[in-house]
Amino acid sequence: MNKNNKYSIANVEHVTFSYPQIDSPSLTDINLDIERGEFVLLVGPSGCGKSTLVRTLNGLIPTLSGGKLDGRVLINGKDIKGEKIHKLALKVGMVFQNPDTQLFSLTIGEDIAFGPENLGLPKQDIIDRTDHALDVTGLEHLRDNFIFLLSGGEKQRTAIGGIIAMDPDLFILDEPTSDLDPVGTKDVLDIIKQLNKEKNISIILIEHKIDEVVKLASRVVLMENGKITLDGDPCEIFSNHEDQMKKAGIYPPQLSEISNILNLNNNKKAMTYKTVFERMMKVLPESDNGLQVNNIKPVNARPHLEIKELYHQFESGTYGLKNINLQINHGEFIALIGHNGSGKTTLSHHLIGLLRPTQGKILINGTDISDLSIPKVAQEVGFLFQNPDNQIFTDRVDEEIKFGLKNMGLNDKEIVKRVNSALGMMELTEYKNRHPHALSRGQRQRLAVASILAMEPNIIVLDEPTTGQDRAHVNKFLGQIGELNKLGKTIIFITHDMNIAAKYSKRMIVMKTGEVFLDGPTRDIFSRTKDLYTTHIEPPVITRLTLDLRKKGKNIPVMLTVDELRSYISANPI
Amino acid sequence: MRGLFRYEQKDTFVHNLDPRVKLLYLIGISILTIVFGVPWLLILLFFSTLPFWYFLRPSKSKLKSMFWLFAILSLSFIISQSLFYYWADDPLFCIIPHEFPIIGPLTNGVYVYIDGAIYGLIQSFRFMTTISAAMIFVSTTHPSQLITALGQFFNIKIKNKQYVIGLPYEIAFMVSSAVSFAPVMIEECYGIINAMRARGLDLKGGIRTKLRAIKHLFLPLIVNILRSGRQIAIAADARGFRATKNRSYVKELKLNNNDYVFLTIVIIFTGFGIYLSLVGYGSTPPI
Repeated sequence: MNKNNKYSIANVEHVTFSYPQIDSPSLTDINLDIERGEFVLLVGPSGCGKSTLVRTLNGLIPTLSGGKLDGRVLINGKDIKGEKIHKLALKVGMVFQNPDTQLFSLTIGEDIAFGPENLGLPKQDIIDRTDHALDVTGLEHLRDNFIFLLSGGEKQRTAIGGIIAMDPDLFILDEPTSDLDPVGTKDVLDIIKQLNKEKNISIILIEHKIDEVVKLASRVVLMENGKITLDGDPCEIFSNHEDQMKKAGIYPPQLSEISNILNLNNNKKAMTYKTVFERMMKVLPESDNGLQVNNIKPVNARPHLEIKELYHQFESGTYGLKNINLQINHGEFIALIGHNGSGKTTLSHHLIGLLRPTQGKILINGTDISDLSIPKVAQEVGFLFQNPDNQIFTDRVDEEIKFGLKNMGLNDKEIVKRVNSALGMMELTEYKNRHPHALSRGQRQRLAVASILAMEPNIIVLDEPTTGQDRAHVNKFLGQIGELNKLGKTIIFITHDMNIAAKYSKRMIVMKTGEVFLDGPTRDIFSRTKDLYTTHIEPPVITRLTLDLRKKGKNIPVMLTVDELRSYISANPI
Repeated sequence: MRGLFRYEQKDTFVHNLDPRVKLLYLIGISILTIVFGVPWLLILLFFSTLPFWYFLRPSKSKLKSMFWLFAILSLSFIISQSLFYYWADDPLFCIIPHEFPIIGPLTNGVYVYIDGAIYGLIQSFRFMTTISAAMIFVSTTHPSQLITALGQFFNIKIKNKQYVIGLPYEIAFMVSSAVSFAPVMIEECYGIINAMRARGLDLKGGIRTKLRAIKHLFLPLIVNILRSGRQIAIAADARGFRATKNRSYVKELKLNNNDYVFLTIVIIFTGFGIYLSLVGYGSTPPI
């Protein structure tokens, strides 16, 4: 705000960078100028060089990483080559994905003061900066609270507060909300918005949740294979380059996709809810047909999983689950939703015996599982955990898949057969001799799935399988899960992403304070907006639009995805 | 049992005392348990730690485990001392006589001495007192509070310049971030074990299956620790860690009235105890 206003905040000039011992460059001839007050949304597929690029701005690359950097990086008009990282930290602040690795102190107030203390600033100055940071992040009332007792969102706000206290001109946030639930995400994004709008601080945000952030950004930059391939106004980019973005795995926000379908002009107004709503009101033909509703009742509605009067009491005495009664049939595809602490994970852990009921019982194919060991249950129920790295135990891809099969006591012939088929199904055959940690994150996740699939379970439980991945990977992954569902497997997946729940699940179970709050076909549940509102869950934009249109008397079906809108329009042309 | 030595967040006057003062209390009590030699003084010393428990209001399960810990401790002292107490006059009864083949001559006979049992009971009070005081300290002081306190054990201001004497800041930072990261690591361990069980690994087997599980726990855990360690280092650098030698401290640890009162009591208490031990109540008679 105060320093050298005549220069851009950051200039990247012809930067090419290679990590040590890697031949191909991670960045190739990058040119990028960041102006004061800009809000840049940096997008691109995993491994495209986004994180590498932003790390050149605060000197982490190449100072800490090693490797070879050609070209120049200027901050406030000054070449930063050879500049100390802690000096740069006063100009360029950076927030990372995992809050647990960014906090160092016992209480929020102490942690926010950590940076200024390191710089040896005068005491009163530090106190003022801390107060200011607490004010911006809305954490004043929690100043003396212990960090280890905070929620993920509060931790991430503390991390942002710690950077605010450094008073940088440029804020870089590298996937700050990937580990957070919708409430935490909203809180964090609100702070970023406030910093940009009110304090005029420049922002570079790397984020996969495009729908939530596109409203905030003044500019979108797309990176592919270490190069910048698109750069411009968000509306312009998303309306004119939709195909290119999709190819790179970046799905435009639903509003922009809908306005493209409705041929709205690509101006800033086109992307507001109101404009799109009015346009739909005007041009969308009314009809009862044109929507292939796939709420088909399973042909053989045999109960696969039954939960009867299930209670779970934690050691602390509080109840994590209260009176859960559910019947899940063979071949169902269920989304389990609800915000953090609502009991989703507690419930899912009961399905494989990681937690045992305090009261009540769980039947799989009519058999009570309370007396069965976890390995026994695991032959029927496959459980995929959120973090693939916590479920890779061996040093070779094929060994990894064998791990579970050996535990089942299968013979060698059967093991080889199943390993090969699982490798094939998850497209990992060519990597079978590799070290698992030499694979990309998406590949590691597929390996974790392959390891579960090889055990041939008939129920597959997925705990937030899509966090921190771009939409192309998510779609591909859930597409594969969908194929398994068609083969008759029962799928239960936990998610915070309503677009994904809308697209893939046929039934939704909403949890709230340890109880089943809503349960029914996905379309019906999303239509109950008032009930959902009490759990901070918001249906996808297209669903809200169609519901609001119906309220105004327009006779159109409730739609869950933009694809449904497309098929509706092709059946009922405008 | 695990919960016995764990920090519990509560708002009591013991929690709010300066960690340094509490540390001195623990040291004082430990010294007294060593220097006191008279049974009733040792017993009195143990009872002097109990009022704190009234303020801390521990949970029933914690009280129960404390009771068992103390019971097992005194019993094992009583039994071992009653068997191997050499200064007693007459044994109460004999378990293995001197004449018993092989074991008899080897052990010189095994007898039970009543004096030994009493001596064991007194000894056990030494340990129980220290354990009780240590538990008070640990359950009311967060590890990183303690480390910060050690980092600036003396924080003196002379002519507007701060002088900090204590553990070097780098070491204090290292230990305290390790301590605050430990719960995350433990959580991760549970996650990995759960994932192994979901892949059919039965942990109920013998020592071999357990060893196998530990072997497999190793890879993901090390990978996670290395990744996190690197991230922590980057995040600390990005916030100016070690930017200057003259680091400032916002929170000067200052003793408040309660601290001074408590500190005075600790000093008088310990001093008087040491005096008593010197004038004839000590564990070794004064020369």
